[in-house]
Formats: sequence, structure tokens, C-alpha cells
Amino acid sequence: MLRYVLQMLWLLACVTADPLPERGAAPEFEVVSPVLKRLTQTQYGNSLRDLLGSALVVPNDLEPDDASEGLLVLGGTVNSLSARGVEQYETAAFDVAAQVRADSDMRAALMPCAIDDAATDAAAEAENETCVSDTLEAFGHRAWRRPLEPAELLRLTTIASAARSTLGSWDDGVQYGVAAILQSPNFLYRIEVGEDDPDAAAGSSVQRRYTSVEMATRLSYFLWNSTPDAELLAAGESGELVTDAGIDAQVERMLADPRGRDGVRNFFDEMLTLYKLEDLSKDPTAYVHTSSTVGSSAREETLSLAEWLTFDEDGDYRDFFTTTTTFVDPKLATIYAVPAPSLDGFAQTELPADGGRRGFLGQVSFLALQAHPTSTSPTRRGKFIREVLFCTPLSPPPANVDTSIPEPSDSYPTMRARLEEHMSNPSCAGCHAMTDPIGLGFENFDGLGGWRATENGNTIDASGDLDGAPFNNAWGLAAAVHDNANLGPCFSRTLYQYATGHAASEGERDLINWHAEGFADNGYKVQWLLRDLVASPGFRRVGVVQ
Amino acid sequence: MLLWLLACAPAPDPEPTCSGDKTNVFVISQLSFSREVSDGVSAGFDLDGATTAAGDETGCGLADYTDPDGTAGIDNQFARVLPVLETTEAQALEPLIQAAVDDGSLLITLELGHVDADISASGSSGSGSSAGSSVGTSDTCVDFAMARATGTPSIGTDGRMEWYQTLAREPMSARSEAGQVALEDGRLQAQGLEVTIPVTILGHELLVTVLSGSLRFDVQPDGSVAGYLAGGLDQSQLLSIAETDNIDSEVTELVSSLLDYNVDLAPDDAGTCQQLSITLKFVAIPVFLYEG
Repeated sequence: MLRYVLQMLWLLACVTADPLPERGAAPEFEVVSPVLKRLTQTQYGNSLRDLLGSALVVPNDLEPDDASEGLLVLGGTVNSLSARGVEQYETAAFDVAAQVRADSDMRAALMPCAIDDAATDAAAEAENETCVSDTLEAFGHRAWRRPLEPAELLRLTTIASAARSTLGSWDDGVQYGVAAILQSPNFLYRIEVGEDDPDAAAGSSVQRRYTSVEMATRLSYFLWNSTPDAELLAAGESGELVTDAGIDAQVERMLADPRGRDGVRNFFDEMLTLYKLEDLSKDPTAYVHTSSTVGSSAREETLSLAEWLTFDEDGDYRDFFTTTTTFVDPKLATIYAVPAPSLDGFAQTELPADGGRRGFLGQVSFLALQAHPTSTSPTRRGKFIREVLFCTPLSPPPANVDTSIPEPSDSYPTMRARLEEHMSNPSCAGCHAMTDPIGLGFENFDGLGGWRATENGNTIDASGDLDGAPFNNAWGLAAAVHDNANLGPCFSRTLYQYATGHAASEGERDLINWHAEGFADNGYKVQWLLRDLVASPGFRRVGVVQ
Repeated sequence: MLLWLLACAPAPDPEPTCSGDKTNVFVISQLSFSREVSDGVSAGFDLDGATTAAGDETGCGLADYTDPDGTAGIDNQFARVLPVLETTEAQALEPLIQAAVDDGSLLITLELGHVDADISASGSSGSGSSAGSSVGTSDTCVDFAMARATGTPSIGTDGRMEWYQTLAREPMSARSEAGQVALEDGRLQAQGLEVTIPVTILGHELLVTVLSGSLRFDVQPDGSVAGYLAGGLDQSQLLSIAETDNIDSEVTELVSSLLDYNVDLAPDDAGTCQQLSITLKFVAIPVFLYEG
């Protein structure tokens, strides 16, 4: 009887389950040559705190990051550092080293041994030298994310000895040694050149792979946006990270770690350029809700939603645009005209089901950032959706074209009327036709993200069409974005670029499409895509150094 | 220095019987005195049910005002006292009241329970097509109460309290229930409110009770409500304030004299009035109360 029941249950499961389509092997792709990746400012800060402790005050007077392909992590691979930027790294390194020396906890964590500066006999002095050498070797190992070569250690201990001789104490020596480690390209850059792959199939166009040690760094900066911890580094040095099993084990651990959440937040921060919200500035006479902190609050709201959807819900990425769940502080709740779920910070809440605000595109982060200081900008909002969410690049306006739109007047009382007039210029119409019909769908939200029903006394018409999907308002538009065929593939492509650290080449198109198809087949779950990309040959294989 | 705070006298909680499923809360964001707008004209209420001319037996013989809408019998003797008071240290009374509102020490809420439809219609909530206010609309049954909220209100860049912010209930303050009232053509009126206003004068905290208070407001096109709150101030309480040690004796004498000649409500058995009528003008904006 029991057997019969089990059989029936098994049959039922087979009937009702929605089997995933068979997924073939990853397609052939054109492998890229290794590139040097300079740490972003966020990675620099995260790495220092993970190395030295959260009490460290990370210097922030560094050369600003520039984005490439919309991502800061890619900007560090293509933008060179100025001479001033090098000096700033040097100053920052000495600042950090001085903090470590002055803080007993950080110092104790750095130096597992004791130094006797008063020692005069040769044996004690030798012990001091050993202690300094061991300290610099251990710290250099972690900071450079690989064991030091003997010659490298010799250079560091030579610096320490020289500083000790000149300044009088071994503490000075250690301080200079630490500073040297932190201003070295080995710390500031990710140097991943790969090795010949002994397991490569004969005749394959891809004969090289990242080394196991390099994979530790790649995994760490992809999933944690920070330096590897001791366990990951050890796994790399033991050779585990060139095997599927070794990588899987570390990825599961890393995603379960709080730093996994930080890593996903950073990806959304970069993809959606949320970091720009820290400098959000709005005309206070136009927007009474604006304040010096509303940008930071808006950034946190969106990042909290991304984190919740990815980890707490393991949800569908497309729901990021339609969910009524969000996270607000009292200020944002006031702007959204909903009860604050907490009086002193952020908390999860549900937006009214019959309301017009939902998902990321109904949040201040998007609505305020993609607007002017004194007005909305349907063009910016539409352009953001085209370029960032759908990966459809648009050309900049021709140099000799007047890009201004008519001022509000009786003839053009609404933004829609003003833009329609602007689009009567054929040289403007081409691109604006790609952006404005989308952006006008958000006109019920002012330039800060507050709701408005009218503009200059006229009822706002927020209807439009997105690639053949008509909508009547912003929430209809959000649904159209959710269902747009470009949304998932674009996200896959952007995350692929973020993971690999290079701009996707034409030769990687099939591989990226393969990941996008898998993403769709697996419910657009971000965690699934993270795991899929880590296993990707695009993440693990590398070309020869050019 | 004067600092006005407000508390509401406890009242029994009536069982709600109105059928609406919405609650609308407003907080008074602007508060001032209803002054004499022209000779014999001032907004307010007929609190004693009589229209009194100077020398009449009712109203202790003090002439009532006429409301700007033409309603006679308006009891607002404080409007006659105020100009005299403002020649003394009470000259900054209104700015102090508004400052107390803005800093959160005088947050008076108007709570409308079991409303059929949102009065302010969430004009800025993005509730689909329902933007706008309920100007001119009616609701035959609304539970109305006044209470106090606490917290530091969020002030917008225009210097005024932000709409739709969330405030906490004042836990030490009881609600003053007016029971079931009607919203007619966008106007709500309520009686029987007893509002106690703690008055801080030079560090002395005293309670002034607005007795038998009446309130009315009109829903505004922008979704706020604006109206008047009136009642009687007990003469003996006001005298006790005036006799506070730190107040100049000349001021005390002035207040005492003013009260003697201006009390117009609640006559005792001997026909001597015991209360001074007062009307406050207010604007209230929609807010939420924290329910956590």
C-alpha cells in the first residue's frame, strides 16, 4: 500500500511539475585578454575594513571612480590614474598605516608578535626582525590576495629596516611597511593573467583559465565587492577553485554571508547609478519635501528592495518593477503619502494596492535622479529605461541642435505639450521618439517623486506605448517594463559585465544570450543568475596577455 | 514667555456605529486667534444660544459679534481682550503658539473615524484616479474626536509642516470625543469638546480649559481642512495665571480688570458670568498616526 501511495505521489509530482527545458552546454565564445582592474573606491574601503577592522576610518580623498558601460567596476579597467591620484593613494596608505599603529586592537590583529625596541643584543634584534618580517608577510599575503614572492618580502623588510634606522623604532618600520603594501599596485589593482588550462579540450579556442588563486579574488570582488577572507584565499591556494565542486562550495558560503548581500546591493547601486543620489540637489522652492538627506534615503530604499527581492524572497527580478513592497523611512513615507512603518528608520511596508506607486520606477531614487533640479524630465526617465534597463544605447543629441524645450505657457501648459512641440523638429524627433513616450508615463510624479494629478491646472495624461504595449499611467508602464522582452536579457548582460570586469565583446554574444535564456527559464531569479555566471566559462576562462 | 500646549479631557469611548471603513487624521498646522475683522464682526460660534446686545440680561450684557457669514450671536469676547493683552508681555502670543505647533509641543489632531471616503482623497498618494479633495461632499455619519500627538514634525522647505507625515499618539493624553457628527457639503461641525490647554508662563505651567468647545471646519480644495475652535475660558483659572509671582503686578491688575468686564459665558446663580468666550482659527493638514 505504502509503495502504491509513493508511486502515486511520484506520478503526481511528474504530472504537475513544470520541468525546465533541457539546457545545453555553454556555447563557444571569443575569450578576452586579461585586463588590470583598479579597485573602485567602495572596493578599496571594503577591502581595508575587512583587512584591518571596521574601526578603520577609510580615507575618501581619492580620485573619483568613472563608469564605463554604466559600471564603476569597468571604469577601473579603462581609465588611467592621474599623478595626483597616485599621490592620493600614497597619502591614504600612510593615513591607514598610522591609524593601525595608533589603535591597539588593529595593531594587535596585525602583529601577532611583540617587538622590543630597547633590545641591544643580537638575538633579540633578530627576533624583532623576524617579527616584522612575519607581520609584513602575513599582511601582504592578505592584502595582495596571494603569497608574497621572497623578493617582494625582501623589499618590504628593507623598507621597514630603513624606516627603523631613520626614525628610530620598529613601529615606524612596520608603519612604513604597511603603507608600502597598501600603495602597491598588487593591492590597488586586481592582477589576473591566468594560466594554461591542462584540462582544455584539444582544438578549443579557449586554452587558458584563471588560476585558482585568481579565482578567489574574482569570486570575492564579484560576490562580496571586497577582498577574499582567509578561507576563500586558502581554498584558492589549495587549488580548489578551478573545480566546479570547489567553486560551488565557496559560492554557497559566500552568498549566505552578509557580505553576499552587500555585493548584490553594490551591483544594483552601480547598475542604477544610485550612488549619484548622495549628491541629489533639488530646487527647494519647487519641491517642499526635498532635504539634504532625501537622496540617501532614496538610495537605501532601492537597495533594500533589491536585497529583499534577491535574498529574502529569492524572487523574480522583473517584480522589482511592479512590487508594492518597499522599505521607507518617515521622510519617504511622507513623500509617498503612506503611514511610516517606523518612526526612526527604515522598515518594510506595503504601498496601497490601488495606488499608482509601485516598484523601483515609483521610487524617489529613479524619479528624482532622472529629472532636473526644477522639473521632471520625461526624456531622462525614458532614456534610463532604454539604456539601463533594456541595454539599448541612444545617440547623444547632434552638436548643433538646440536641445531646449519651450517654457510652460498657455500654448504649452504641460510637459507633454512642450515635448511635442520640441519633437516637431525632425532632428530631435528620432531619439525623443524612443524616450519621451515612455518618460511621459511618469508625469504623475514630480521631479522629486511626489504624486501630482495636475500640471499647471491641467489633468496629466500619462498614457503611452512601450514597444507595442499600451499603458495609461505609471503603474501600467511598470507592468509593460516587467513584461518587456529586453528586460531580462539586459540584466543578464549587465551582470555578466559586472562579474567578469570587462565590457562584453561581440564574440561573447552567444554566451551572454545563453545565460539570459537560463535566467528566464529559471524564473528570473537573481541568485540563480549569480551562481550561473560564476560557473560560466566567461568568468573562468581568459585569453593570453596582449 | 508663554508656551501653549494642549491636552484633552477624558471622555467615554462611544461604540462606533458609523459604517465607513476609513479613518482620516488631520493635525493642526496653523493656529491663531479669531480676531475682530471689522466693527462687531468676528468669526466664531453662538456658544450660549443667545444673541446678546450691549446691556442685555443675557451674556452678562456684553454684545455678541456677528460672523462674517452673517450669523448673529457670536461669542468671542477674547477678540476684544486680545488687543489690550498684546500691549503687555503677551504681545508675542500668536508666534509662540505657532512655534509650539512647529516644534511639536502643540500637536492637536482631528480624527475622523468610519468615514465613507477619504476626505483629502490622498491628493498626493498616487491613488490612481482618485486625486483631489472632497470639497462639497457629504458623509452622514462620522466619529469625530480630538487628541494630541507627539514627536518633532517634519517641516518642508516652505517652513510649514509636511503633509502626510506620520506622528505618534501622545500616550498621556485622552481623546475628547464628540461622538457621531455629519459632514455636510464639505463642512463638519462638532460640539461638546472639552479641551484643556496647559499654559506655561515664565516657567509656571497652568491648565486652561476651553469648556463646552465647539468646532467647525471646511474641507479645502487642496485636501486640508480649515475652521474654528471655540469655547469658554474659566475666569478663576485665568486669574490664577495672572497672579503668578513672576508676572508684573500691573499686568495682573490689567488682566483681572479685563476679565471682570469681559466674561460673558456660564452665569452662576447670581447671574455673574464665569467664563470668557474665545475662538481659535486653524488649518489642519492630513497626517497619519503611528500604530506600531
